Amino acid sequence: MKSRNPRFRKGYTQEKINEQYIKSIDEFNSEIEKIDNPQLIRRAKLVINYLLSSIPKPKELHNNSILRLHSNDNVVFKSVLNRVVNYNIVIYSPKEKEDIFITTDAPGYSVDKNKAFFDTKYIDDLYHFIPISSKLALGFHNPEFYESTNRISYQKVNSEEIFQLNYGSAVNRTANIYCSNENTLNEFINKVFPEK
Amino acid sequence: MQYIKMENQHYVPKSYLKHFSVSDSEEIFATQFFEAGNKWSQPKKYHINSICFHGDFYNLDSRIADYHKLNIDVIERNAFWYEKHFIEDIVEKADKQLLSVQEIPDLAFFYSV
Repeated sequence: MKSRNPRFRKGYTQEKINEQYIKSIDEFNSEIEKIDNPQLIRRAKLVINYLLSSIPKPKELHNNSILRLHSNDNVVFKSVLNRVVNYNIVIYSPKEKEDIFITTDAPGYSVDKNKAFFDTKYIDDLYHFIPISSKLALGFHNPEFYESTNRISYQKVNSEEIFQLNYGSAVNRTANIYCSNENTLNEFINKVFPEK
Repeated sequence: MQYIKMENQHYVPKSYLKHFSVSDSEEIFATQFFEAGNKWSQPKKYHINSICFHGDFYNLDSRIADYHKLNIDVIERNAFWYEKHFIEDIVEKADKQLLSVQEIPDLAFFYSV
């Protein structure tokens, strides 16, 4: 859910891509200067011109990473998966009947050991949270900080804890918050963002 | 060169959003924050088909698809396997406290990918 989101694509900015490509091309150029065969130099310059005209767009790079992931060929995601697979899972559900989880247009977030929220963070990460329904949510807890004899456990959470978990979702949204109940959504927004 | 009719591709799966919808419907209450006005919109009901999508968001560039001999919509059709039954299954199993350790790799994939 995290890597397919437009927020993830925003990480591939055209400026960063250009910068990276230009750096590689500059390195290539300095290698060409060492060649003394004019025919080879001409060919190498043609390659450079081609490379300059085909710098990929953020969409291409993002989709390419999803595609490589699908064909099990994405080293970065493999390392993330290998990490998360070892986390302890807690399934949260509300103690009170009237409490519900909200979600957003960018579901799921990370909390680090300083209790700060991030869209995604796998360094010093305490846990990752994602609601899966109005009444259920998953927590992926880093075993370095959360010892448990059970790899999967179930936990009832009170109204204040639900509010805190929902607060994390709300601040990590892109723009929209979603909820199954209009009153709950109104009350939540008024409580979290009273001046807006 | 492949041509394909433009399609709304959801970056938050409909099968996920369904579990936050008003009971027995595919409608959900939504509120949006407007940076310009520094205000939240009044919550409104939307069908889950009409939120969290962009046209052709995951389609490959046709030159790249042709080069690799892939359909341009290969990601939308095949990459997000968990949309089909998995989300439904884990919600049901979590509700009944029946999730097993064998499901952890798929849960990790669902969250991070």
